[in-house]
This record gives sequence, structure tokens and C-alpha cells, in this order.
Amino acid sequence: MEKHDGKGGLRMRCEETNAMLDQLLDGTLTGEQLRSLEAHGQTCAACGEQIRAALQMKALFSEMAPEVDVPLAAQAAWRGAVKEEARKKKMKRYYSWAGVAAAAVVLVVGVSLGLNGRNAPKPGRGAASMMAVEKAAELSAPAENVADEVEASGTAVYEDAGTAWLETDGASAVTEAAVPQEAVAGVVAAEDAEYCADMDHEAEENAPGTPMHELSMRVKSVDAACGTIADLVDEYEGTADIQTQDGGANLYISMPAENVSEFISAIAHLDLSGETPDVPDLSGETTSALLLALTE
Amino acid sequence: MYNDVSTAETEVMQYMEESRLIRRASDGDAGAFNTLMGMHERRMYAVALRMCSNPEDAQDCLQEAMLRIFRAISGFKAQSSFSTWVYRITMNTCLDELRRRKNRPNTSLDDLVDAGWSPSDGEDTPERHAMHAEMRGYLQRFISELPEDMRSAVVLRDVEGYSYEEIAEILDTNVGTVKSRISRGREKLREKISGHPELFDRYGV
Repeated sequence: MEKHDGKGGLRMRCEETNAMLDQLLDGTLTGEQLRSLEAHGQTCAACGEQIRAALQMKALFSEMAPEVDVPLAAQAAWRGAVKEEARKKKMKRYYSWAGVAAAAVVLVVGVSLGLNGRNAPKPGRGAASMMAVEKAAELSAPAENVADEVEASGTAVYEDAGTAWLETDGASAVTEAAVPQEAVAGVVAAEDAEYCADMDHEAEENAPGTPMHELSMRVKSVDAACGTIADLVDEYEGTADIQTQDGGANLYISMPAENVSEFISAIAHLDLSGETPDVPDLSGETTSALLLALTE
Repeated sequence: MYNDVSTAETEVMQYMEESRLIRRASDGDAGAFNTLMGMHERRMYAVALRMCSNPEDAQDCLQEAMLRIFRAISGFKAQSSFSTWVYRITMNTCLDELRRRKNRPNTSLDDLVDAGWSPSDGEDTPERHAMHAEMRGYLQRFISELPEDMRSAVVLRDVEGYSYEEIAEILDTNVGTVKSRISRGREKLREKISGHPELFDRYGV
């Protein structure tokens, strides 16, 4: 309770000192309160000491930097520790991925292994090849057989640079992709796949000092992500980390800054409806389901 | 609210950038994580320095906190503020380390004197600079003698400038408890300061 001392000011009592000093440090003391605090300090030695100490403390606190430069060695140390942790986590994932590969369902073409070798790929090829394989699987053989066949024998036959036949159990599918046998990277169980292409190793090959731009996308068609779009990323000298999630795929792309706007333009002009009449008709749902969004 | 559109845009872009980096880090991208946390490391280090009182322990805490955050980030939900979550883990890491090292002898003042202090405007002479630095060292010594719950609250309030509500979130408690710890912590510090007039009187307040 504040008592007026008859001179128009407030008279303080010792019990209030603590609370007022908290306000002092919080900076919420009014001018009038500060004056009455000082006045009290002059009459009461114990409180005077507290007040002086509080003012010293306040001044010293204001000199203590809320952010401090981290010594370079310590910076390197924690970053290195995190990278090591990430590497360990990744190794665990790869091992479990390999174990699951036996239960093959969907064939995924590995884009990092020379798919662009012969010609610059036209948009649509990568996706088309995979659509075709899926169609073949649907038509006759159970999916596992398709995968086994290709993996075991590499049944791609080349007629010319632009066409490859994929033969399985009597069903055949024509694709417009130049698909070297080695490009078949392996089989992945669709439900369990965490990566369908990992081009991280290419990151080191970029010239140091090239300013890189990071962007990410989400695509509903995993096949398009691993095929067409990955092709494009490669074409524009980028690298992409592709991860399946919730039925679609996220791509995390790193690309030389100077190529980004052209790349984005190329993405916007992608036509995945297929350019070859022989390709089994890509169902409309696949094309329209291709959701391209430059995510935040 | 914003002075101009560009400020608002900058904030939105920073938020989007942060969200994007968090997502990538959650997927195990160490590079994205390091970029993301590079924006927080100086503040995290400052907190660790005030809690641990010496640079070596603070650097250990910083590294441990970074690893904990990396391991846990895939579980981070966007409901809470990322920053608050980071400082909660940082503070918990410091508290865990302190409890582990309970029997460690006190560090010499020399380690403390130059660690992260920004001189006030009044320190125009080398003598004053040295004097203030020494007094700040003593204050840090007194902070290190506070019980941990008071120390964490005082550091977050009086050094880092967080609000009572933010501190309650970081320390996972309520505002009343925070106010009480801060008040009692400050009182203890005042008692120590006024108990050593020979150290502080030169400050000239």
C-alpha cells in the first residue's frame, strides 16, 4: 500500500523494495516510482545498498551480449558431429532398404547412371518408360516377375537410339527411352522406399565456389520425379535428393544459380502426355495428377 | 505493423526459408540442418556460456545440444515456435551437463573475463574497459553460484531478454514460477554484490 508523504510523492516501505527492484530490472518502473525508490534509499541504509547493487547489476547485464561468436574450432566440431550423425542414420536406412528389395513391386529406373548418355532426353521419356513397364505388369505378369526379369537378364533390346523393348512373360511394352541395361538401378518396394534416387555423391563434383541455389518441389507422380524431372535436373547441372512421402515425392534440388530460372521454365513447359503413339495411353489421371509446386 | 512491404516479405521469406530447412533437416539433410542452426548457434552459445561459466564446457554443451536437436527434429511439430524449441533443448542440455559435473572446481576468472562481453558506451578508456570486464567476470561468478533453476531463469531474462511467457515455454513451467525464480535469483545476486563492495564500488553507480 502506498502512503503519500504530504509532499505530493509516494513514500515507500522496505517490504516493497524487492518488488520495485524487479520492476527496475525489467524496465517497467515509472519515473515517480524511481524517484520514491531513490528517496527511500537515502533514508534506509539496507535498502540503499540493495538499490545500488541493483543498479550496478542492471548496468552490467546490459553489457552482457545475448549472442556470442562461436570459436571456429567449435563451429567446425558441431557441424562435423552432425554430418557424422547423418551419415550413420543414412547407412542404417540403406541397409534396411536393401533387405526389402526382395519384395519387389515397382521397377524404378536409376537416373543417375547415364540415362542421358546418348541424346539429350526429351521430356516425357523417363516417365513414359516407367508407365510402360507398369502397364506391362498390369497386363499380364504379376509385378514381381517383371522386376525379376529385368534385374536378372536385362531384357532391354535396342532398335535404335530412341526405342527400347522391354519383354516380360509374354507382355511387351514399348518405350521411347534410351534405357541402357545398366540404368536399371534396382527394384524398390513402393511402400517401403525411402529413396528412389540418391545423387548426393554428385554434390562434390560441382566446382567449389559455384553459387548454388536450393529449391524444393513436391510431385504427385513418383515416376515423373525419378524420371523426367530428375533428367531435367541433371541437364541443368543440378543434383536432386528425391524422397517419397505420402504417395508422392519431394525433390530437394541444388542447382547452379544461373541455371535456375531456365530450369523452372523447362519444368513449367513439361509435357508428360507422351510423344509416341505406341506408348500405352498414359491415363489422364497420371498427367493431371502431376502436381508441380515450388514449395516454400 | 510493418514499415513497408519489403519488411513483411522478408519476414515471410525467412519463415518459409526456416520451414523449408526444417523439412530438409527432418529428412536427414545435414547440410540443411547446419545452415538452419547456423542462425541460432551464437545465441545458443551465449546461453551455454552464461550457464556453464567457461568456454570449454559451453562448447561441449553447444555440440551436444546440436546433436540432440538433429536427432529430434523430425518430431518437431509446427505448432510451437522453432526458436523456443531450440532454446528449450539448449537449456536442458546445459542443465544436464551441470548436474553431471557437479563436482567440478570453479574456473578461474580469466576464462570468464573475455567471453562474450560487449562493452558499454562509457568504457572509453582501457582502464575502465578492464575494470568493467573484471566486474562482469565477478557477476558471472555469482551467476554460476546460483541454484540452477534460478540461474536459468535469470540468464534467459536479464541476459537474453526473453519475456516471462517465453521463458515459461522454454523452461516448460508457468509464468508465476518463472517470476519467482527470477526475483529470488536477482535478490541473491544483489546480496553478493552488496556483500563485496570492494569489487563493485569502483563501478561508480
